[in-house]
Amino acid sequence: MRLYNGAMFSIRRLSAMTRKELRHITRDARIFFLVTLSPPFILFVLSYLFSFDISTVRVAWLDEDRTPRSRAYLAAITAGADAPAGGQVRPYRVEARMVDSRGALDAALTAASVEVAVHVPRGFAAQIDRWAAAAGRAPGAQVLAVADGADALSATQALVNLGGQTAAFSAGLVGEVAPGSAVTAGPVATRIWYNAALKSQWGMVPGLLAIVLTLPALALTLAVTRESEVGTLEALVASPIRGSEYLLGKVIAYVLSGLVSLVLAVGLAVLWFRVPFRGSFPLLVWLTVDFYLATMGLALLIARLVSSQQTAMLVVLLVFFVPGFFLSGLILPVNTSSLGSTLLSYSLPTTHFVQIARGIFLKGMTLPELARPAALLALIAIASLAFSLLTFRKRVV
Amino acid sequence: MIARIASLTVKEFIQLVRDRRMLLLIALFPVMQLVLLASATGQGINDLVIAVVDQDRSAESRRLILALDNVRELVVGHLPASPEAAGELLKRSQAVATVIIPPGFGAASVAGRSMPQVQLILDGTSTNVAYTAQFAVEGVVNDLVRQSSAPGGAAASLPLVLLTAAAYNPALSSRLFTIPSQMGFIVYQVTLAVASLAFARERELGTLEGLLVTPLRRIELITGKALLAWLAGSLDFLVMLWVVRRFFDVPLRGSFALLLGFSLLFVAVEITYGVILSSFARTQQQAILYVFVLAMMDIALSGYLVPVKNMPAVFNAIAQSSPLQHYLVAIRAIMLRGAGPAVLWPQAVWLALIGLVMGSVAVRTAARRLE
Repeated sequence: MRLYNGAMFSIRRLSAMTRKELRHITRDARIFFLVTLSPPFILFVLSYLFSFDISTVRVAWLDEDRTPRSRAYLAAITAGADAPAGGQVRPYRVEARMVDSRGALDAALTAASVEVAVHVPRGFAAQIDRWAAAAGRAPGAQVLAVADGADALSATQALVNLGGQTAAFSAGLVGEVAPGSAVTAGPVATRIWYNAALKSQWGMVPGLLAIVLTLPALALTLAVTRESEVGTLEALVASPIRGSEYLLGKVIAYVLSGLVSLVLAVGLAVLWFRVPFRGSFPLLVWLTVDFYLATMGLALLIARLVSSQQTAMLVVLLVFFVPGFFLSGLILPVNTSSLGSTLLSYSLPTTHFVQIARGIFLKGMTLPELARPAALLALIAIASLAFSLLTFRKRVV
Repeated sequence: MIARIASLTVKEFIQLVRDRRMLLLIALFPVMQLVLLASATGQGINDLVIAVVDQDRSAESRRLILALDNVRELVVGHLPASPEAAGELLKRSQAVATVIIPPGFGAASVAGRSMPQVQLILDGTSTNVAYTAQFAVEGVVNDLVRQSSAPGGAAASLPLVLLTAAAYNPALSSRLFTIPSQMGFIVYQVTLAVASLAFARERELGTLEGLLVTPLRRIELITGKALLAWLAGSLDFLVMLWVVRRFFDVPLRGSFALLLGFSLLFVAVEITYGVILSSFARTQQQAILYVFVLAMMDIALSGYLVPVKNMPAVFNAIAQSSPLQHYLVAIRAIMLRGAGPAVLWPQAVWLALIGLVMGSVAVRTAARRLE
C-alpha cells in the first residue's frame, strides 16, 4: 500500500528526517553506544588480542662444541634484546634452555616448550679457525635452527630474527679472527619501510579500524528493522515523507554519528597505540564516508531481505564482521589464486578499507594512489544504495 | 532412570533428524565454513609480488631473479629500471618488497671476491607478509651464495652460517595452523548450537510444559538433552576429522585414541555452557544469538587465529578459562607434533576442572529455570 506518492524529492523533508534520526541516536543510550563508542572500545581490545609480535623466543640449545667460541655465540644470541636484525632494533628477547642430546631437542619441540631448537655441532670453533686461516676462502661453520612449524607465522618470525642475529655475530667475528677477509657482511642487507621495527600493531590497528567501523552499519540495520517491528513505521507511512527520503535521512544520520567514532578511533590509534599517521586526515574522513556508504548500502539490502532485528544482526555480523578477519587481507594477504576467492574478497567493503586505512596511516598515500580501492567502494555504495532506494516502498505489512 | 533418559534421547534424536534446519546447521554449515576458510587462506602466504632492480645484468643476477621467482612464496612481478621506480611500486602496494642486485654481483662470484650485498627493501605495513618475504628472499640469496662458495664455486662466505628448517611443517604453510583450528571450532559450534537449543526450542514451541509433567525428573531431563548434544558433537568431530585429513592434507601424527578422548571430554565441557545458555534463552533465535556472542569471545581468546602467548598477560590469564583454548592446543599438538599424554596432561586437567565447575553451575541453573 503506497500512501504518498507526491512531490519530488525534498531536501527539507530529508533534513527533517536526518534530524529526527540524529535525535533518536543521541537519546537511546544503547544505539549511541553502538554507533559512537563501541568502535573505539572494540578496537582497543582487539588491538591487544591480535598481536603477532613475539616478545620472547624460547630456544632449546644443544652445544656439542663446548668451546669459548660456541659459548660466545650463545651469549650474543641471548643478549640480543637490542639485536640488530637487518640493521633495525626489534624488541624481543631470546630465552635459551640448554639440552644435552638431540633427543632432548626433539622432545622440547614436541612438547612446544620451545619455539626453536638450535644445534651447534662439534667442530664449530675449529671450522671458524679453518675459515680464518684461509682468509675467508673456506666455507664457514654451520649451525642448524629448527623451528616448530605448527604455527608457521611465529616460526618464520623467529627464524628471520635468529638469522639476523647470527649474521650480526658472524660479521663481528670477521673483524676478530680474519680482519683482512674478503667478506665483511651477510649477503643481504635488509631495510624496512613504513614500519622499521616491524611492530605488528602498527599494521593491525589501522587494519582493525576497517572491522570496527562496520558497527555503524550494524546499528543502521537494527534501526530499520526495529522501525517496522516496533510499529513506528506506520506513523512514518502516514507522514508525507517519501521512501527515498526516509532511507537517505537514516543513512546520513548514521554516517554523521559514525564519523564521531572515526575521530575517537583515530585518536586512540595515534595517542594510545602510537601508530604514526602520515597521510591526510580529511582524506581519511572522505574515504570513511565512502566506506560507510558501501557498508550501509549492503546493510540496507540485508535489512530488506530479513524481517526481525535479531536475524538482521546475525546476518550483518556474519557478512561483515567474521569474514573481515579472513578475507580482507588483514592477517593473511588476499588469496588471489582462484577467481572465486578473489571476487569474494573484493566484494567485501572491509578489504578495500584495510588498504585505505593502512595506506593513509603508514604510507601517507594520496587520493590518486588510493584511486582503486576508493572507486571500488564507491561502486559498491552506489549499486547497493540505488537498489535499496529504488525498491524501497513505504508500506505496512 | 536409565530407561527414561534413553527414551528421551531417542525422542530427541528423532526430532533432530526430522528438523531440516538443524541438519543444515550440523552438517552443511561446517563443511561450507571449512571450504571458505581453506580458500581464503590458500596454502598460506604464497605468490607475494616483488620487484627486482637488476643493476648487474649478468648471468649470475639472472639466475638470482629466476631463483626468486621459483620459490613458492614469491613472484617477480616487476623489473623496474631504477630503485626510485621500485620505491613507487612499494608505496602503491603493487609490490611487497624490492630486491636490488648491485653492479658487480656476478663478477665477484667469478673472481672469488666477496659478493656485494643484495639490497632488500620491505613494506612493513603487514608484518606477517614482511617476515615471510624476508625469510624467502634471504633463503634464496643464502642458497645461491652457499652454492658458489662451496668447493666448486668461487665466492667467499661468512665464518658462521645459520641453516634454518621447520619441523612438522617444512613448507611453513599456515594452513596447518588454521585448518585444525577450524576443525576444533566447528566441533565447538555444533555442540553449543545443539545444546543451547535444547530447552529454548521446547520453550518456544510450548512443549516444555508437556515434558515437565512427565515422570522425568529434572536431572534426567537435563542429562537426556545433554546426551544428544554429546552424540552430535562427537559425531561431528569424527566427520570433520575425516574431511580434514582426506581433503585438506592435515596429518594425524599422534594417537587417534588420545584425540578422540580429548574431543569427547571437550564436547562434554561445552555442553555445560550450552545448557546454561539454553535455560536463559526464550526463543531459538535468542539462543543462537547467545551462542554467537560466546563464540566471538572464544574466537578472540582461544588462540584460534593468533597464538595466545602473544597476548598481554591479562588476556593470557583469561584465556586459560576458555575450554576451546585447551582443546585447540591439544588438537594441534596431537595432529601436527604427535604429542602424547605426557605433554598434554595439563590440558586434560584444565578441561576436567572447567567441566566440573560449569557442570554444577549448569545443573543448578537449568533446574531452577525449568520451574
